[in-house]
Amino acid sequence: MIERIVFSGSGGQGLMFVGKLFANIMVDKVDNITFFPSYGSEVRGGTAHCQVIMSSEEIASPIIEHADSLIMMNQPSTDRFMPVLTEDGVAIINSSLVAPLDDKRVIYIPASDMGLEAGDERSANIVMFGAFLRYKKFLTLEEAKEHVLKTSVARMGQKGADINLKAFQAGWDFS
Amino acid sequence: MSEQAFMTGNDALAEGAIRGGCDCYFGYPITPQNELTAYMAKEMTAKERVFIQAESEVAAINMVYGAAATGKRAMTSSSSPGISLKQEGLSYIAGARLPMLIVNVQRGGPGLGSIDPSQADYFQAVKGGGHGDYHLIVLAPASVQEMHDFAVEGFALAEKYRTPVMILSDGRIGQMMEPLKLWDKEAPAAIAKNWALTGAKGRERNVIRSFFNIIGALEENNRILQEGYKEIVKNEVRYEEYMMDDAEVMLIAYGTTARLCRDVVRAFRKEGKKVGLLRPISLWPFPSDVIAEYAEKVKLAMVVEMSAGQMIEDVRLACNGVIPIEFCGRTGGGVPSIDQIYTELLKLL
Repeated sequence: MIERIVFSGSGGQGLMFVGKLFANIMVDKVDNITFFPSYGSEVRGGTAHCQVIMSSEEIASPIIEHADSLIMMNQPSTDRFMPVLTEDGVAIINSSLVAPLDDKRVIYIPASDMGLEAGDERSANIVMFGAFLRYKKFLTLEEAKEHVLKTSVARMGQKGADINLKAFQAGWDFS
Repeated sequence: MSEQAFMTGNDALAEGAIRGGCDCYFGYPITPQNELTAYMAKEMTAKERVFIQAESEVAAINMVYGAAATGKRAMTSSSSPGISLKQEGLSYIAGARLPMLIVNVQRGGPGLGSIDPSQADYFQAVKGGGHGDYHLIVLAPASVQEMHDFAVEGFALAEKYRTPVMILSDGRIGQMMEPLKLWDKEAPAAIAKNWALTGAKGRERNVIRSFFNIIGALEENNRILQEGYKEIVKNEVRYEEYMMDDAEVMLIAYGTTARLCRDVVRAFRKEGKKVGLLRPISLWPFPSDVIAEYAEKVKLAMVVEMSAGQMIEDVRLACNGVIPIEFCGRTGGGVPSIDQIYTELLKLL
């Protein structure tokens, strides 16, 4: 088993947050896992991304050369990472901000609009996360919500966590 | 069962130093090791130990010099350009025979370079860096677990030989998160420091210095240093062999590139080609003897580094012309891909 996932968006869109949350959930469920962030000045404004690799074999490099899944929040991320997506990979793309591609591997989800509907456009990352987890079946809905709630409360208090839960459910139901 | 964690290499190293008994940390921020400094800022102060963000790298290393002179477990960390700034202090500390821990999470150079990972500070780490005849014990972790473990034992190792210990890592291992087991025992015991400046009441005063202007005194200090280095060479060589038993071709790499080479070895083995990996863990003392022994058995060696070729010089010295030594590498923050290493080695077979 190997699963190579890139989470990418503009600095501030919370893709690093989601990637780290995902990795922290999965660490007890897989034999080997690595998380690698982009750590340059790009984090403040450009394309910020992180990469998670899960494998039954030892992981030599935390850098992804061929991706099985992409979670893409904006156009520059999509342009940059679509070329590394494998033939049978999947890309979950925020169609609120990204022009459509003629590609069967893509699932479009208007995450920014759905985030706004959930109460805050900034929860678009969590919408994407919900859609991703539902599609890949890594976790049950209950388990996933519990993690989202716990991490969100710690980071942004109950009000923000409630919005995140709504956003997560919306993403989950969409997929 | 020991405590599991999922941390970046930088955080794991910081936690290892704390669990290894670090009394004082002095540092100055620089990417890609900032998480280490930030972790220490939070956790050292929470434990009421000393954390100081110095005004510069030069100040930080000299604070370490002062703290180490009192027998406290002191450390600093930085990345390549910052480590260059610390070289004068390191030479003084080595000359004064003080134990301390220094961490280099390497980035691309020369100059201010880039923030991407690199192994181009090998020469600086193992050949001196500062002036004078001295060595550091240099350990090269290849995983987040080793970042942690080497930091735990770093102080005890430094104290045993009264010498600075350097952990030579790079931006990739510093930034990546991996699961690890945290050290869950007491910190390694401190060795009695009858040389430390602890207040001379009731005893002869101790003097810590690297300046010896009496005829013969500096040479005597150098003699003592060299005696110590002989002991280190005898006792502290570390390396890892991976599928070397029947190997006909030997890859040699440390740290990040060694991880990549393990994948390359597995790929060749699947094709029935007898490739193995020798990973130096201590870069000084260098595992010259074991490399020399393998040079009698294998047909070819290829050294893989994120540099223009630095460790390869020590490999050549160890092999002494017995087998061809080839090189595969990238410079300026570039990291070879597994495909690149595989393809370059395949051409030589």
